[in-house]
Amino acid sequence: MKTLLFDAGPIISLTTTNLLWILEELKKKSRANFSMTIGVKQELIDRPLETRRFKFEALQVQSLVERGIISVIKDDVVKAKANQLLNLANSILSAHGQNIKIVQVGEMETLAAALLYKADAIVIDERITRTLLENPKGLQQLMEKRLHMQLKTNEFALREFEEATKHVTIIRSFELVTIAYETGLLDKFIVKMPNARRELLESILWGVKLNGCSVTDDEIDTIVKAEKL
Amino acid sequence: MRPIIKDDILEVLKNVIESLKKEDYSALSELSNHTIHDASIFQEDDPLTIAVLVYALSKCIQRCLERRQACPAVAPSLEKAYEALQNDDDNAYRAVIKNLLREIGQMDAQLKLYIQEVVEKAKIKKASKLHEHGISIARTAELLGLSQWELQGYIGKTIVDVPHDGMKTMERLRRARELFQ
Repeated sequence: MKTLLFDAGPIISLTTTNLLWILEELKKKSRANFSMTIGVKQELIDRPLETRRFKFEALQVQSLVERGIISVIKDDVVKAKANQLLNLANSILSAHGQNIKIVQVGEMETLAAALLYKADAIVIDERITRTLLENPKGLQQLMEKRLHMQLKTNEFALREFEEATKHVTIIRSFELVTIAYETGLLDKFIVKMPNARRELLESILWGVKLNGCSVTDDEIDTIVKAEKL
Repeated sequence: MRPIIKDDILEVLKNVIESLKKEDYSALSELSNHTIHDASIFQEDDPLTIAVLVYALSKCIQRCLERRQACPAVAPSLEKAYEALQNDDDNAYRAVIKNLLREIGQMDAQLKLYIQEVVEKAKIKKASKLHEHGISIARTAELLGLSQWELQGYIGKTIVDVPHDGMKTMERLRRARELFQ
């Protein structure tokens, strides 16, 4: 059985685009195991339930958890591994003798759980964490450009982090909605209008982008062209 | 407070006070970004708080001008904050800034300047700036006491595309398809 670990971002993107329901359908089709860590659950459900804003969104996510669509991982070993990864990630770059804290423990818990539970992929919408995993030098360049200064790299921490995470596959809500489209889950939204399928695909891809999934305009164009609509 | 942060905050305060005295309010929003570099690197409260304060102030003043209402008289308090910081009295400085933020929040509530609380809005705005400088959404939300729910939506609608040269689009989709076969 395939296992996917979810960060908070893609669940937020899907919920705010009214597409959270596709997870249940994708799970039925693939019989994959969808999981999130307790830290991600706290951010997505527990905290918003204590406030007025995003309470309904939190309830929608809670419903998926209660119905077993997404399982919650609570494991002290994950926490320990997450702290280890956090220390590494947050000591890769420095300026003025100060390590720059790029990521937060919750994100590293998702990564740690993915490594410990040998997940097939992690689902992350957030650009910085994804770049740190896939192209750390690119992140350094981006930060140097923004901060108008050269950053110092701790090569040891970088190598250790890269070594620990080299087999991790990352996907986004962007790919999830594309697959939902390809497998016909969204066919009920093909309406009577010119280029209805193309309009539908564009609408969902732009939907997740505008709700926080980090994806470029070019990537949207690439997918729309690839679907030959 | 670190000397580098102190110097930058003093510079910002000096410019803000000058702008207020000259009634040149257009510079305020831009000045609110001047401590973002410090905030990104050191991730301490002081550079973040001054960024949030100056941005909230700029929005309050902008709305007051639109409505032809009197602008808040905050220059004397900012001068007090400047003096305290120059005398290395960090606690006095922080107390003045904290009061100012509360006053702006109250003014906002009394005048109903904004539907969404102006200070909260300023936090989101500055959080998105931090994210632009390479800090993750979760870490940024944590630093400013925001929820990822509110921050992610704002970032999705405002951050300009930056390709990250990681995995190619079609390769990522191919891998995703394999997961759902």
